[in-house]
Formats: sequence, C-alpha cells, structure tokens
Amino acid sequence: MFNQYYKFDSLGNKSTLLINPTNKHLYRFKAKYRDYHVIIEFYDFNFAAIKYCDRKDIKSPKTAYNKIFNDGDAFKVISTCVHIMFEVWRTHKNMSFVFYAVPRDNIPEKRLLNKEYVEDYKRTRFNIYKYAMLNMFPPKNFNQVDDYHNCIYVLLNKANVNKEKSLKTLGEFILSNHDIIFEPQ
Amino acid sequence: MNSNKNSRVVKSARIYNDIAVKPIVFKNKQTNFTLTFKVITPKQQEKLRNPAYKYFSID
Repeated sequence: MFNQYYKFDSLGNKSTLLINPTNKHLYRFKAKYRDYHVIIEFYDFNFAAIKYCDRKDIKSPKTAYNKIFNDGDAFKVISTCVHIMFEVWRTHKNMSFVFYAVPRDNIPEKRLLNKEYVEDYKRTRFNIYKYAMLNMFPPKNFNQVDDYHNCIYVLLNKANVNKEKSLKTLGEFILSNHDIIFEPQ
Repeated sequence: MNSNKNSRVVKSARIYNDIAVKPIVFKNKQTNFTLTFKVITPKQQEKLRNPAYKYFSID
C-alpha cells in the first residue's frame, strides 16, 4: 500500500517572516488526474507540519484540505506524502512531525444513529495516516503520539534531546492557535 | 510563538523510550478546547502494524 508513490519535486524553501512557522518548503507531484502541492511548515520548536492539497486549491485553505477525490489513487497520493516526510527526516535528522487529519463530513443519513460508524467515518483520513506512520516510521527513532478525538498525530523524534519540552510547546501552540488550525480562514 | 495565559498543562508525564506513559492533557480555559496526547508504545506499534512493511531508515 505504501511502497508505491509518485515521483515528487522540491520547489524550494521560503521564509515566512513570521515567528511560527518560520519556513515553508514546497513539494509538487503529478498524480493520475491532478497535481498536488505538499507544504512542510517548519516551527522553531523543532517540529514540521505537513499539509497537502490539489494545486488549484492552494490559495483556499478553508476548503483545500477537506476535499476527497474519487481518483482511485488515494493510497499512492498518501504514500507520496509519507515519502516526502521521509525526505525531510533525512535532511533534518532531529525533526519531529505533526499533522491534522481533517475529519470527513457528509455522513450518510441512514447511518447517523450508529455512533461507532459515525466516529470511524469522520476519522477515515486520520486512521489511514496513522496506519502509514505506524508502518513506516520506526520506534527506534520516533515516539508515536496521537489525539484521536482532535485527529492530531505527532511523530516525536527521539534524537531531539528536548522532546518533552517540544511536545509541551506544540500543545501550547495548538491551544493558542486552534482557531487557525481547526477553522482556517 | 504566542504565550497564552489561559492555557495550561492539566496533566503531564515523562516520555520514556519504551515505557507506556499517561496521556498529556492541555486545556484552554476560555474555549474549553482540550488536547489529549497519548503515546503509542513500541509494543503497541508492533501489534498495530503490518510486518510486511519495512520501516524507513536513515542509517
């Protein structure tokens, strides 16, 4: 499932002139029916956040990350993003990763009463991404940390000597910026 | 980095390399937004994964 991926290109690194994220690195790949952009945001507390979307949606963050395309290549697209994370890890050996898997909406009406189904349906993306992380990033190098309720996943790099402090800073950052992360403008 | 006086770490725990730890909970008192980070131990990871996959390695 995660062995096949699209060839990707780096479009370079750009400073944001902000405190956080400090830099953004853009990657691009051509999938079966569309082009994707992958954005790696670097934070000064040694974290990189990964986001991906259709190239056409890059300027519409409110809708860019919750679209689902029935192109039949979802796993190959996800696998490409995972390999881009690997590329970032190779060049930033102490870097930890974080991502937010936007919950699915449009729950089928006839299933609304089945709470277990609804919770699983909402977290389809989260569960697939988590499965990818568990299978590809070794426990020798990373602590795997998740917040199932909020669909947040963290790969905490063991090479980071201040990993507990980094995780605490990340938690505080999300708390103080959760309107940006969960309701992007 | 914004400092937020209304947020606090409710529960914290050390993270050991191979030992299960308690969840780390962050709560924003104003919005009631709560984060609960749970660490998946290496043992749990081995149970949850498909051994057919090969881990990435930078060694």
